[in-house]
Amino acid sequence: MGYLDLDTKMDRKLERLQQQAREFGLQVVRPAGIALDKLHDPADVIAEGSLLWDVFRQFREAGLHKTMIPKAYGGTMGSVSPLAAPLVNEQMGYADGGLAVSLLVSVMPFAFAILSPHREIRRWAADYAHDTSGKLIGCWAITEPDHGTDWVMGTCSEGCHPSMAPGLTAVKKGDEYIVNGAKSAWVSNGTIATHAVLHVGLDPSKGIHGSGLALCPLDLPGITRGAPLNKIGQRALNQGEIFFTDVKLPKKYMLLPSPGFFGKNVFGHTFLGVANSSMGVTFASQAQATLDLALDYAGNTRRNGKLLADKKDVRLRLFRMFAKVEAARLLARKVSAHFFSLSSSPVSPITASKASFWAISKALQAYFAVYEKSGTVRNWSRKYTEGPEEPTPLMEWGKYGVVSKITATETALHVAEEAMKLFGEDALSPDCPIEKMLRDARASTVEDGVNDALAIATSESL
Amino acid sequence: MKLVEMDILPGRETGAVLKEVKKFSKAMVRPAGVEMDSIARPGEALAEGSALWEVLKTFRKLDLHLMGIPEELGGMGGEDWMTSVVVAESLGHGDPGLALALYACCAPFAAAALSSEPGPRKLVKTFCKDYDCTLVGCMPPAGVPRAGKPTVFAKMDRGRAVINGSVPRAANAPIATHALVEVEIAGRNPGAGYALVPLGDPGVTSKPAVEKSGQRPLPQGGLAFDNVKLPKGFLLASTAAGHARMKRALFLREQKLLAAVFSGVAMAAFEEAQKYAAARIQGGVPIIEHDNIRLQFFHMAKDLEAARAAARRLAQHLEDKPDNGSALNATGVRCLAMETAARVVSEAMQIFGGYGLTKEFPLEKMFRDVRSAMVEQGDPDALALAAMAAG
Ligand SMILES: Cc1cc2nc3c(=O)[nH]c(=O)nc-3n(C[C@H](O)[C@H](O)[C@H](O)COP(=O)(O)OP(=O)(O)OC[C@H]3O[C@@H](n4cnc5c(N)ncnc54)[C@H](O)[C@@H]3O)c2cc1C
Repeated sequence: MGYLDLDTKMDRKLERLQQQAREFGLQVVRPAGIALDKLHDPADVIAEGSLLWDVFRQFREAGLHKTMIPKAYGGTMGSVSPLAAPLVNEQMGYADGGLAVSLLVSVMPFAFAILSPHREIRRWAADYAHDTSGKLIGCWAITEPDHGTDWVMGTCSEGCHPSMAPGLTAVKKGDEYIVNGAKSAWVSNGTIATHAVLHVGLDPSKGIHGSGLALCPLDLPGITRGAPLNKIGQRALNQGEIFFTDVKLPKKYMLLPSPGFFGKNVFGHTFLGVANSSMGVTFASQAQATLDLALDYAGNTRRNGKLLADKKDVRLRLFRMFAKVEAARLLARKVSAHFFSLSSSPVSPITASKASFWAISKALQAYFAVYEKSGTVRNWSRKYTEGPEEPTPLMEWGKYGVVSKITATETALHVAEEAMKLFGEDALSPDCPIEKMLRDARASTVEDGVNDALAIATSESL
Repeated sequence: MKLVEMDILPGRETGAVLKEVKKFSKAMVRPAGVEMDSIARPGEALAEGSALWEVLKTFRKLDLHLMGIPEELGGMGGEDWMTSVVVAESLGHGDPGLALALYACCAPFAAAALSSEPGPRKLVKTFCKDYDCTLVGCMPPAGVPRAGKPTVFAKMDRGRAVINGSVPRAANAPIATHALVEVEIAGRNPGAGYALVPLGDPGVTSKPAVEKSGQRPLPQGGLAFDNVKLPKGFLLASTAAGHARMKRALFLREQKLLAAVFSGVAMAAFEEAQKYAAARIQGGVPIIEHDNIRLQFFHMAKDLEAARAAARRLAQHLEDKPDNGSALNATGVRCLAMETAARVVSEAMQIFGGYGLTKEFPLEKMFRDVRSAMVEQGDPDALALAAMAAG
């Protein structure tokens, strides 16, 4: 069936990028996802010779990973339309939800690296942009075995409760931090990542609000990994614990060294929104993929002599699926593109530190230019690292990311349930991805925060 | 937070049986289901000495296979509705796939007990005494009365029926000795009946157990019949009225069973979530103390109690008026139970957060079980329309 692209900002260049991503997605990512899903032991997903590595390598070779790295670092962000990143991410989600997450989260430490005042760390971004072998893999190490939703609640007032203090701590000793503790088995890319965005507890009396943020190379002595997680859905996505035992983390890696950045403030609110908005794009697109398979099936399958697409109950079901999918898709793309559009807005003067002006302005340009636009950020590090502040227009964006994620994942789950019913036993045949899509969608309503918890935490910014 | 049994429980004797069943389900059925679910190749779960056989044998040791078989053939006579529902609920609570396997294991023999011919009656007598499980029944899903067509055909040859055709998927096919299959009888109009097929016949080929996502402990496979000559009397219910009655009875029984089994799954999910929510600390307190979680529990309880009550009501009706059940009533009850189970399991999973998605906790398996039941035992909408057509 035909979809109209309701986005008036599409142009030829974007259409070509979209087409390139679509072909890669359908030819490489989708079949790899189906094959990896079937592996009984999740250790096989990351074994040598696994299709996973082909996906990573070819994604990088095609340059599709560059949309989230600024131009100054060898990426394309800022030099192409803000729609570029959402368009690529859409196609990955369309191909395979779990692998899309793996590819997406991979960029995180490298994208954050540009926020660092240290040139050496900022270079990570360029290394990533130029990596065509897929050897650089990032992860977001935030949740812990005993603190899952606590981190989500950490973005609102509730997060200051001392009982919510992170289990993974960093204690400053001279020029290093000594890091001890564990990140949860859910960390996406957890057992294969080379670099992490790592949330650490600095001041337990402040609960989650007492945490700091490090960029951590994962080859430091004392870091070990758990076994790959065996779970119901997104089985192609590697997940697993990361353990830290007396790890000496040089202080240059501590990006945000003062507790308080992760509270009821700009950073806290936006942080969830950024991750959530990508999830929104991914799963709205998975929902579309499910719908497309359902339409195709209904148009080609007869039951009791009648074409499914000619039955009124089936037509009603399909149209309702279409209505939900399109609503989710439009929302997700808009919210994500809005975020990337802010990256090309002009940067206003920053007075924080002259030495790191360049880095910080680039960083802000790339990621938090949203704050610039409203002209409220003058001293980013102070603003980000000190406690609750007055709500500003800046804080408004984050909740849209959350809305997008909740809407998209619930749509993906609903549509997959509906498609399962339509396919009946055919959903279980070996190369039909419908049943897998249901399991993948099932995980998405917990991934990046349980939907209800996200809603409650973010309701503070209504 | 506690759900109480709202029905008047049966007398002391049945009460004792039910207690045993609950114990069996908890101590054996649930762990066997988990074990069989985790075996990569379905065939391996069926090997002699596996957990499956232990479950099948223990079920017989408890004499549960005698329910519904007349006393003169060695059975317990009629079953009371409450017992049958609570047994099914309990088994579903343990493992829905195994609950259905246990049902299919007995169903062909219970059907044979209705025959007046000496052949089938003798088989039933042997079945009642068969504590080693040398006789295992097998059955494809019972179709909605007056919907669908048989895919197996019988022709009469000197008083004995010869069977040809195939069924794509039948419960217990890979392990069974006897299958109960609906057949169209050639040369009679209208002509249909049920064949009780001994699967040891050389004309029978059994397709290997199929790989599937949910209800993995329920062994399933296809059967093909090539000129299988039935023993005398093994064509059951071959008059027009007899066939219609058996078809209706099998269908209604299956609806009742599925409704009860899936109410059991919903209960199990609810209880697991309850335990988890009391132990899991987030936000500095057990998560059961958060009002959003409490609200989830309330709605789960409300819905699952409604589904259970409906299943019992259907069972009671079928006991009082066995020939009077309507497809609409029965399908409604069964769909309510299925949909409720799907919703309750999904809610319970949300309460478990990430842990609910892993093999460490039973929720992810319940999710797969319920979802695959929805496709294997039929799309609720398609069932609903078939029921509307059947009246
Ligand atoms: C596919 C997938 C990918 C993931 N990727 C990553 C990753 O890359 N990095 C990473 O660090 N983590 C990752 N996660 C972890 C994810 O963020 C957590 O699973 C999620 O935040 C929930 O935490 P939990 O599992 O500990 O559940 P819990 O926090 O234990 O929540 C259990 C239930 O309690 C409720 N609840 C808890 N606290 C409160 C409260 N204060 N108020 C009201 N209700 C509450 C929740 O809503 C939920 O229903 C991933 C998870 C999945 C499933």
